[in-house]
Amino acid sequence: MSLVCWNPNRELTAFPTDILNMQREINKMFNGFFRGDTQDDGSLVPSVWTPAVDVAEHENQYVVKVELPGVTKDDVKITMQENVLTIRGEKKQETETKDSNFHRVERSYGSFQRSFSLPTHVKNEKIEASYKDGILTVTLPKAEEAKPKQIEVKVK
Amino acid sequence: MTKNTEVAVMQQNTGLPMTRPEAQENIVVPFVDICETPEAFVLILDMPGVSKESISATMDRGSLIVKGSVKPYHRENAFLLFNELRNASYYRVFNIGEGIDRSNVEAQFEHGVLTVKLFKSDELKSREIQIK
Repeated sequence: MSLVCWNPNRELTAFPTDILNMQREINKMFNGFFRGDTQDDGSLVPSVWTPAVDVAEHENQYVVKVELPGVTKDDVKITMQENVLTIRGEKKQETETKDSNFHRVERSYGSFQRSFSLPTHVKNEKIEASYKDGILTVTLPKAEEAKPKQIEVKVK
Repeated sequence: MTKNTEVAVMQQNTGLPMTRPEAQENIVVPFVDICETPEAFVLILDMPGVSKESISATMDRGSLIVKGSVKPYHRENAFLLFNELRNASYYRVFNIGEGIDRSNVEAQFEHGVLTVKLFKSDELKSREIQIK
């Protein structure tokens, strides 16, 4: 073994690692709890993890972005029923590494589901979804009656 | 997690001084799985929202530095009803010990997941000993 220079910082920082890891776990738990979705009867959906979601409202459409790293296109199902958008799917563990020896597991695996009730009606037949670099983007154009209208005021 | 603790986690991972991204930039430490196969250690990092062009993995004096930046997710005039995604740069440093062949590192990026393969040097590989 080669000689290693003694680094006093390393000893000082050895202790908080556990606390920081614990904080990370607690943050994860809280995120899962507050983002959890409810089923029709009010009970929590038994999802293993909850992906982060952005819902943006534009003048003519809604854009939903979901963080889904490592999920293939075929593992995601998007449904629209009575103005409620539901995104569900499953994140599978890579088959290549399944049998190997894990030293650290921080990423989440398993099924997920999230539902959103949209404030206005959308054109169901014009909903589009794309998946790129681990981000799922769903574009929902607003129905004609929900678009903002400008009313001209005539001055006599 | 606050920004300060994230910075502490990064310093945790390496005893070396390092150049961090601009201080005002928002930083996220990507989640990682580390697994061991007979011939290599494999790091799997979740980095959603990063394009292949803006991702970098650098081997520097015994540490592996992984960086990636995210473009803004929405147009400026968007009104956010839900905002859980973070417009931040990913940054994480790993200490690479002896027994890793530092010249033989493979990385690939697909569906927002970066996979880095660090091959073991010959002395770390398990081998069968012939019995005479």
